[in-house]
Amino acid sequence: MIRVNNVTKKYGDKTVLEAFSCEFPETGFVAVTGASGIGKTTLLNLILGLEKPDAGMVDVSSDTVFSAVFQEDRLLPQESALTNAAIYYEGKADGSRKLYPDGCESAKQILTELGLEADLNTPVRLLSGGMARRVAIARALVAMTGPLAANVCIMDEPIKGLDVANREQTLSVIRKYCADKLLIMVTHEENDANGADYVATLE
Amino acid sequence: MKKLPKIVKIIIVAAIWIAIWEIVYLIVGKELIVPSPLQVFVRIFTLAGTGIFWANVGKSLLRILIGFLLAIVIGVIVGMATAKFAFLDSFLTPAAKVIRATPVASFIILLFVFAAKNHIPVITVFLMVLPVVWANVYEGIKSTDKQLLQMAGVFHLPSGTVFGKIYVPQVLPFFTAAVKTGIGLAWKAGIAAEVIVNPKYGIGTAIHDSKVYLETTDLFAWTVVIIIISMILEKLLVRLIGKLQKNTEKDAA
Repeated sequence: MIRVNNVTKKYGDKTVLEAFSCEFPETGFVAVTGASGIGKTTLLNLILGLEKPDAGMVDVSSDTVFSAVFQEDRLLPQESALTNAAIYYEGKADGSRKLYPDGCESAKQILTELGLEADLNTPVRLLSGGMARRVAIARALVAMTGPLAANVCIMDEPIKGLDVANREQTLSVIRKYCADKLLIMVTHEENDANGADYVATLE
Repeated sequence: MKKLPKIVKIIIVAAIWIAIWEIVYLIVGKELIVPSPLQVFVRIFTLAGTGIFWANVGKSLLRILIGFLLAIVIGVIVGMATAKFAFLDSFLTPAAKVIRATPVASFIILLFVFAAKNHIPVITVFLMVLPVVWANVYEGIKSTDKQLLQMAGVFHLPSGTVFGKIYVPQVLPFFTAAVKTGIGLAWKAGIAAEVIVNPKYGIGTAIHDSKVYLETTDLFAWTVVIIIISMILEKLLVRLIGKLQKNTEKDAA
């Protein structure tokens, strides 16, 4: 359960969110839309706990495990696409069983579905912007799979910068791996919100 | 000049400087003040054939490397600790400033009171290199990409992964710069300490003796030896760091 209660967030003199409240469903695809600078990214950062509200509070139930695609790719430039995509499972274990090999298998599968099968071992710094974006998406989706799977995926304009041919394919992969979970996606494009269970427009 | 291989460029530049040296020697005309390059290089080869040369080089190398490596280890630890804990930073920064501002000769003389003759060059090197490593590691950690650290927090990455895959790659360029600067400083400080304290063996002791006996050719020969060893060490250390970095990347892939 994620509930935003009467939240106000300011940057200096500029108020981005004022007495803002909303509640997200347990599962489903929520598209968050609105004009630039309206506070969409701020809302996601508040939910993820990356920023603190100036007033009000964000309630996140203790069983919530987040996965995310940030506005920036935030990849490890020296590491391969595969290592970046599987990073959620690095160093994690289920009892005595190390989960990284499974994470890598899952990462291979998702990267392949996103059209990156030829670049699994390529360092991310050598990939194009669109390819790096897909690696960031794969990292978030790997975290939605396996025994420690996250149950909430937050995506900030995930398909920004992707060409038309890749957009639909990428969106369908995202929807596939986030099925039966909560997907909160910020988007500028109305088309990307097609198929959303709920559309929240910030004004 | 641009299209020439690197080694040819180095040889040409070195030849020009040696020619300038030769011209200065001819102008001055007194070997006691400026010996000729040929005399100096012949002297280096003569010295290199003696056991005492290698004893001097070996002892200096050992002292300087011990001081340097200690400074690297402690500098990395203190740099990490001060970057992490603000109160430690406030507490230790004045000490770093004092060490940086104190002339190396003052340290050496002061150390006469506290330390054995043989240990003074080691401690001097340590004190000179420590602030450089410390400051660079601190800067490297402070300039680490905050967005990557936030990503690590959201995905609950273990501290080992955060250290190895986020901090190390971002701090490494700063660390390499510290090693390059530090090794040059280490030689200068270590040899200066040896010149003042005169241990039984050491390049500094040989330089001191050259001065006392007015053997200017020996003084030049030892100076050239110091420069050559310092340059070789710098290259080796930078190559070693590069290799470590590549291995880390390979392991990660």
